[in-house]
Amino acid sequence: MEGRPLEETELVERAKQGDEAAYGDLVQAYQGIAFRTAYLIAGSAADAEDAAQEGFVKAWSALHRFRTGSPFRPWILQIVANEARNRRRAAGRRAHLTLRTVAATPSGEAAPSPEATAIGAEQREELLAAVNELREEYRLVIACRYFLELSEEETAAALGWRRGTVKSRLSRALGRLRERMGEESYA
Amino acid sequence: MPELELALRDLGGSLDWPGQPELEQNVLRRIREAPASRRLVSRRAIVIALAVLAVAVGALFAVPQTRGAILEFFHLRGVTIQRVEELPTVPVQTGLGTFLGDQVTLEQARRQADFDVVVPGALGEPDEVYFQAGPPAGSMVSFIYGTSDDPRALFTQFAGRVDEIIFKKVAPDTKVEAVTVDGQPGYWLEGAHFFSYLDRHGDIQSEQVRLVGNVLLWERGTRTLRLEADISKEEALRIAASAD
Repeated sequence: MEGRPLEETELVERAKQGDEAAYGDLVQAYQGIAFRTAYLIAGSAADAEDAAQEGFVKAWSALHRFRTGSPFRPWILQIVANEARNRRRAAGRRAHLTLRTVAATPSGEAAPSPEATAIGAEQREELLAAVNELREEYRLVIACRYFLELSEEETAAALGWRRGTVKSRLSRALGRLRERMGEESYA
Repeated sequence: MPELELALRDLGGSLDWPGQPELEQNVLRRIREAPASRRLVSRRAIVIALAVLAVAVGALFAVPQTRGAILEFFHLRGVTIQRVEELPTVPVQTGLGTFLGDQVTLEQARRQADFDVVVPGALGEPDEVYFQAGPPAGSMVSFIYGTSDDPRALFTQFAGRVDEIIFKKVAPDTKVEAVTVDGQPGYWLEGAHFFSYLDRHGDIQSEQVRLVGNVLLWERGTRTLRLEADISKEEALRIAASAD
């Protein structure tokens, strides 16, 4: 889990002045979330790595456009996500990414139970299957908001939607999931 | 938080993500590998580098309002360079727009210009020649190497009849270095830039043009010459010295 470094504003400012080491720190801080966001969108780890790398290189060149003091994360996510979309388009990928859980194991074996989970393994698999079956835009908004824990603003930046669209699609996506999981499970 | 949303968060924690690649080294390597001039262009970018080139009528008073304090001045005949705190932000357009005037042949330019047109021998014959008779600035001749949509170098010469024909703004971190060419004063400006300009009717054209690179400005007799290309200072000085 990456936090927003306290000195982010200063790192950005130094990077703007051409300080490569400062930019390296920013890459370190955000490569994880950037890669995963790209992975959700591009649908392959190789393309995601490519997109994230390219995004960070392009962001360096575009730093002058970044307004000092505003959060860096939505900005870099937007650039990386664009790269990821380009790669997905170029690859002509249609079938969407199927997310899996670490705990997914052949039937019969007990999944290793992580500490204090809110739901049981079986229920978790069921829920993931339902997410995977959602249409692309619903799956993406669920993944950004809950799996990557992006803010609404970051989700809007990454997906290239307006915030209102993020809200409405998220609400519809949750509705769809409730239907699939059965009203009684998640009222 | 409703139960479903909690469950989704919980699920997010147990997803099988592909291994996280280490990007920092590759990113830094690619940043460093970029050619120096490109790096300058991209890093300092375009907006901060150089800004406003205004040609023609009473340029100093007619150019758009300066934003922020003026930090420094540099003068050449017909040219004022101002270092300002903040440059105007401008939309980008490729190509050179109508700034250059009419496309002519080199011979036509020689006939129409009210000064002796020189050609930088190191660059050779230009690919395109433009002429602008912009009173009161006197005439201006521009050579393009490459094409006007994708110029490799732009060489401009004009008669400095009035004090302020060309008006530039540079950002605090744009490099402005005094140089001499054939014993005459000049300035080397490092960084990409935009310009806007006044047309021959004295109207400010809003089109802003992204050019190719660094700029050398220098005086030669009664004229001011300007070379812009994605080249080093040494190379620019060599080309300038070859103008004849």
